[in-house]
Amino acid sequence: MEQRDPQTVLADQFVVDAPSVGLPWKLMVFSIILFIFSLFIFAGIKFGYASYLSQQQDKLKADTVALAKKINPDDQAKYVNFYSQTLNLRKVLDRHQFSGNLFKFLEEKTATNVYYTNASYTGEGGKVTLQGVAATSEALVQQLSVFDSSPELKSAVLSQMRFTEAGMVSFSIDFEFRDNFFESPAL
Amino acid sequence: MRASSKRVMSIGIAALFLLGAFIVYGTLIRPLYVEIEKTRATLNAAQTIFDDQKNATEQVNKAFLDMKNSTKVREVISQALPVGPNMTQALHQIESVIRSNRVSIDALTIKAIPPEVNKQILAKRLGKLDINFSVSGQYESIRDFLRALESNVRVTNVTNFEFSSMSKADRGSSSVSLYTLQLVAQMYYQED
Repeated sequence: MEQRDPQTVLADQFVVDAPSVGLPWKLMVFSIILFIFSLFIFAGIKFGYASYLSQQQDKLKADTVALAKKINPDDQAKYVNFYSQTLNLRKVLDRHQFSGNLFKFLEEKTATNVYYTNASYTGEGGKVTLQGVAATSEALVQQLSVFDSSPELKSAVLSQMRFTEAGMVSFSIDFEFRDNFFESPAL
Repeated sequence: MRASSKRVMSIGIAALFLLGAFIVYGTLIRPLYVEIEKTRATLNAAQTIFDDQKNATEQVNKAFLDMKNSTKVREVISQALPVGPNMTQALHQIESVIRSNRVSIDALTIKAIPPEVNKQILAKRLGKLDINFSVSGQYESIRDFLRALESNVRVTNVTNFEFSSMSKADRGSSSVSLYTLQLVAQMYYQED
């Protein structure tokens, strides 16, 4: 082992370190970098990202205006008309009724010794009032039983009956037809 | 300069720059970032709307093309439900139905009813023509007339009618029963 000079050893023990400024210096450099970095971030956001977003907004506005021009106003007006017509036609056809079905019904359901003198039809509710003459009261009863068994009718009510001088029976019947009876034309 | 003074000065400068950094963050970066966030949200919303509109525009243009290609359908629809009251066409059609079914017209009144309120967005309103008239003829003629009227190309809805026997007309050697039909009908049109 190496033998050191005792005086050197003693001097080494009493030596005083030179005052150090390393840590505050590093802190100062760090804070300056942080400050410059914050300025850099600000400038980046302000003049980079914000500007980019602003450009995007302007581009989007221009695209939207260009998009609106892609639709021809004439075509638009024609289409609105066409759309409305289709919609309105559907509405009209939904409420359309074929009152002429009444004739076919009466032709099929009327007995030979019965005839009618008057018929009035009301579209709302599918109501019909029928006036006629039967040869005999039995004929009228037979006719009523035919109406009663008709699936097309909700009800058939004899509202009036009178014997005529000629021995015939005049009558009035109120019909109420089922909802779907007037919906489509009878073949 | 003494080392301790240098140290104090370094710490002071560091503190100043740190404070500066905080001030830049607090007064410049943060408000700007909040502003940027709002702009981004607005831009995103606008982009979504734009995409939807672009999609809708493509659909609309496709619909325009389909509409242009379906000329016949448009013609049929326009005949069934014309734009505007078009009373002359209505009268002409009634007259044609009368003539083709061999009935005679006794009286006719026609009146345009203002369009009803429409609940549908964009759709134009529906107007009506109220037609009151009376025809007479033989039973078969009147029956066929009514059927023809109800299946007319312009949609016609009979709301009420009264059918009654009128008289017996002499036609050569045989007498023919005549009937009269008084009816209220509606034709429709779309407002212009």
